[in-house]
Amino acid sequence: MKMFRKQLGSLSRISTQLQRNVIASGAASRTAEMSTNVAPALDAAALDEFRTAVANPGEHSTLQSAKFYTIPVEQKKQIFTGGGLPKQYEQQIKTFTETCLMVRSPALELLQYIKNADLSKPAVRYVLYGENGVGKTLTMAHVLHYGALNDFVLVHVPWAPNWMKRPKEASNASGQEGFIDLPFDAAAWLVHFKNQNAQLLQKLQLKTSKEYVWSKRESTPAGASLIELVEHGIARIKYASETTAALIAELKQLATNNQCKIMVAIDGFNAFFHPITRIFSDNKQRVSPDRITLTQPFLDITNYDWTNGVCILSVDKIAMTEGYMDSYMPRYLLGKEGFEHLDPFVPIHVKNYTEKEFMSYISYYLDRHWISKTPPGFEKQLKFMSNMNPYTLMQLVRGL
Amino acid sequence: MLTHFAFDVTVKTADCSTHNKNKIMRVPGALYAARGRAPQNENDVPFQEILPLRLKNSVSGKADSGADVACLQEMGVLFACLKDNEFVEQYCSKEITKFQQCYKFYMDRKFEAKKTVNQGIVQPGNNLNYKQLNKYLKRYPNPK
Amino acid sequence: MAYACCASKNILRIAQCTTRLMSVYPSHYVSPIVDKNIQNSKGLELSHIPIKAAPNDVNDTIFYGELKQKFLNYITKKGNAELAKELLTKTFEAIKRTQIERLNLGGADQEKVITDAETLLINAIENSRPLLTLSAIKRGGVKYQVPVPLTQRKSYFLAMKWILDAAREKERKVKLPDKLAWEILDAACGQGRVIKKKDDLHRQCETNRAYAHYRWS
Repeated sequence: MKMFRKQLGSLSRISTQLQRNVIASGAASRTAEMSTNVAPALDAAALDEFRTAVANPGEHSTLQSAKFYTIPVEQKKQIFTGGGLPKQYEQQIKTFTETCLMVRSPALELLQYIKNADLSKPAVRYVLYGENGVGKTLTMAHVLHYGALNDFVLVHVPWAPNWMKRPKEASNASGQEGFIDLPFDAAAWLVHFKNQNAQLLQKLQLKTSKEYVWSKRESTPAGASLIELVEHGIARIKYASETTAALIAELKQLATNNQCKIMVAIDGFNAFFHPITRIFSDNKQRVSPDRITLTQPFLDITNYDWTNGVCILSVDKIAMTEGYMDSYMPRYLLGKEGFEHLDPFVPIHVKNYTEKEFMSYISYYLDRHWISKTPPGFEKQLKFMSNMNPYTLMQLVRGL
Repeated sequence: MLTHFAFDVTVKTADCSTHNKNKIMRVPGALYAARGRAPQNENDVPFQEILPLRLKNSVSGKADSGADVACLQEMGVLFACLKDNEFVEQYCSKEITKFQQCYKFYMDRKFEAKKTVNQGIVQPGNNLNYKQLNKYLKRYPNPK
Repeated sequence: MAYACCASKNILRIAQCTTRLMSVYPSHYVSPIVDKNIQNSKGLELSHIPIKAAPNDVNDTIFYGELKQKFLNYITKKGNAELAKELLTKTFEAIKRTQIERLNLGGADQEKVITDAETLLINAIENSRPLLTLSAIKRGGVKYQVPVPLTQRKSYFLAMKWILDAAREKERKVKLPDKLAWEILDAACGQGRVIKKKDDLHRQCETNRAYAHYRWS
């Protein structure tokens, strides 16, 4: 912690920027609270009090805060089949037979930023941070839904640490010496990319700018559609990593040329800068993430040297390994290198539920028959036990 | 109160003049049958007092526990009902409650009885439990 | 016993009593009251009576149920109550999921579907409680299986033990919470292995009813 503060002090420019943003977000949340005091009287009559009929995240405002909106089944299938929602949340969705997300202030803040952003300027990086189980991934899911509805090409990594912690297979990269390929994970990501963007790519008719030669016999010519590129990567798993790199480079260029706009969303982004992975090279040495071919394109696309895009990144304690989980602050989790890579960025603090959000969640659970013990004062007990932390609340309510 | 006697049991063919027939004794053979078993000579077989030939000043409580058989009739009725209804309990709820009440009543009574015994309040009467008897015996011990 | 009589006479002379109780508390100590409402109403009455220390497994929250706690104790192995709690929570979760799915599937008897897992657990235990048991009694060198009535405590114990035994008898790949959830759901609606076990016991008792008068003596 001491070290953390010292380094932060030395980067005074960053620290002031951070503070400014925190103040700004604080102000935003304050305004949100003020307006919520007025809100319930307006639309209490329609639906259940905790639900909202506004299913388009682009139209969400503080009026809808702490209310649930439903993602239609097809859209959920399109965006989240390859991941993006926590496993337990998926289970909950299955049990409750509906995909409901709560409109919360960090997502609203982020959406407001994105809507007002000037896309002709270099890509802005937004970093979601907060304690464990506070809703960073679901905030990201909310924004992803917005992106999918507003013709953003989604470059979404559901959980980056998966690559570093439990890779399906690791092999030596053919192109670069000393690098490691994760062919299966890369192919899986390409499938996920295709699921999310197939329709949009069909519509936009994006073409590759140059020829990619994979081997003597295989190549993708210049002017081929991006879908062809992706499908090649899926079919030839050996070249999946290289395909990913090519795809992302192409996307970046296309966006800069104003042919499409891109939303990058990477959950657990700090895993790219955490030196301890579970991948081993041939001589049984731990491979650091910068030696993994899959890392480079995603670091490349989170740079600010391109336009027409937004980057939503989350830093997470559980993306780290044991002994590196002392703080949830971006500077600590990203390390010096990572912080400098992202600098300047817009930090967005995701916090525990507010009073209103908590009560709304309780009434949602009651509506779905998930809580069946309701003696007077049970909300108070749950509030006390969970400290209004979303994940803890979810865990507590399981056995009731 | 059991007092124990012990004799030296080595059989001695002593004087056979007595014709006292021991009727309780089983007759082992024709020879003995004719003359009968002679009593032991007190000098040859001296009496040993292994336990004192006196009543103790206490009684044990073993006999008071009594038989534990209760609610036999209720059990029979319950069995009959269960058998008629193919062991589906909900058709025999009346019998079941009756049986359980009976057993509970029995256990409660037993518990109460034990409690009163343990209190050991001495009251006049002839139907005394072992605790009461022991109290009496303590107060009025057997003469020495 | 000795304590009891002494205590009623003079609390200060406890030291003179000869028999020792197993409890660390003298018998004039009263058990603590868990329920907050009763606590409030009885507060004055108890203000000058010494009270035993609060047990650490009882509380007055929505997470506590008397029978649930008892069942939890039976699940516990080697004192690992934390694990037992987790297992029971997962069981409840599985029960709730199946019941809610049943509810969502719809059908005529929608109001009959109980989604409260604890109620289901209690129903299951109540349904599995045996009335009688067989006890081996030796008479004239022969052992007889004699039907004997059960106390309430014992019948609850047997019911919970059977449910747990049935749940533990599974393939290694199946998780205990899932199996336990199934057994509880089965027993709650009067089916399944536990109920069958109870019925079998009753049947055996019925066949051996002729020995009923042999009970302890």
